[in-house]
Amino acid sequence: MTDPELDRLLKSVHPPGRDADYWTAFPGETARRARTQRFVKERRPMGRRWFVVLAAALPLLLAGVFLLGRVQGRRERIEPAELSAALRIVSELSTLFPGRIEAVVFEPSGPRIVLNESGSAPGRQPLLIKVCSGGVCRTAVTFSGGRLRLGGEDLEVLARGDHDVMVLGRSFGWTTGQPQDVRGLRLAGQVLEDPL
Amino acid sequence: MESAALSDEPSLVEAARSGDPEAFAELVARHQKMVHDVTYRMTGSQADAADVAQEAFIRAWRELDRFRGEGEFGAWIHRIALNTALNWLKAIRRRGDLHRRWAESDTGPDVDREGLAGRVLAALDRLDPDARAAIVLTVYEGLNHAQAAQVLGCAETTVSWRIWRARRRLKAILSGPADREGRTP
Repeated sequence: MTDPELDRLLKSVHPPGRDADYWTAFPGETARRARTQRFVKERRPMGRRWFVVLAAALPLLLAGVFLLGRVQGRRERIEPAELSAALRIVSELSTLFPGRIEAVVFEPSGPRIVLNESGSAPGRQPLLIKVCSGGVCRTAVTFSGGRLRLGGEDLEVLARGDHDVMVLGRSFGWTTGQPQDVRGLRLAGQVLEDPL
Repeated sequence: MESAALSDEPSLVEAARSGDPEAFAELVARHQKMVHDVTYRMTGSQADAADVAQEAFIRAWRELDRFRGEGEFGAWIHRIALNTALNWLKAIRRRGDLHRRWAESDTGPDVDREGLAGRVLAALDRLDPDARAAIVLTVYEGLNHAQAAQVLGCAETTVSWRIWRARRRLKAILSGPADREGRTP
């Protein structure tokens, strides 16, 4: 199925019609409900609302900090499943944006694509790095010489030899094989063998 | 009805902002069809579309002070409707009752749930909410990726990625045979 065929199929479904009485009644009913809601909203004291929100959020925040700390302790390796999923997604994206992918960052909310403006194929060694900061881990596929921002740091990622990855931050340099904790970050890296 | 007699939209918005419910009702009447279309595309249910449309208008009423009047009121309420429907969809996803809702949903009298329309709605229901919103904005509303990104408050590349992923999923679902309950793989 092609994209235009899919679009035609999707557009063939129209929202069902409603009778004239519905359209006549809806505006008045909505305006009536809106007035009530505004009145209720204005009557609620602002300070008390903030207090309720803060009181409800505090235990959740504490639990979150505790859990994030535990997650940070665990996530220091690049798992095989993570590696193959990253490779698959980057490979698929390469067909969508041929020669324009500078990096793909796997954020907790989903993949973020960094495209180069020139449109020239990188033609460099693909690398996978993982950076954990503040209990949140982000993985990125980039190419040797790629620059990206991860964990609040501007990083340059380089291939060193056939197997090692070097990460250069503003105030540190790190290579695979060294201790993973560097300036509040936990780092892991791997050279990708598969061509993208 | 004095306010309804105001023909230009900026005057209606100004009157509604100062608390005139009749002016607001007139604004609702002018944009209700468009808002219902958006909420139906997002929810796939006639009853839910009505509830979400009303919620969107009430939100607009509460936030009228924030509407600076630089753009069209229609574009502003469209954005609110889409995001209200998106939040609604995410909330029911979190509760995990989407498929139960589909089984019980009131798609409307014109929709044959066993037929093509039913299959398309079921396929849209199986997208994640962000992907569905991207499809609704670009395919049904005709926005380009940059405009859709503006409505959704995310990067254009994120919209492109969501659309690409959604298309792939929709093609897989709609190309397959429907099962006995009218659902597709």
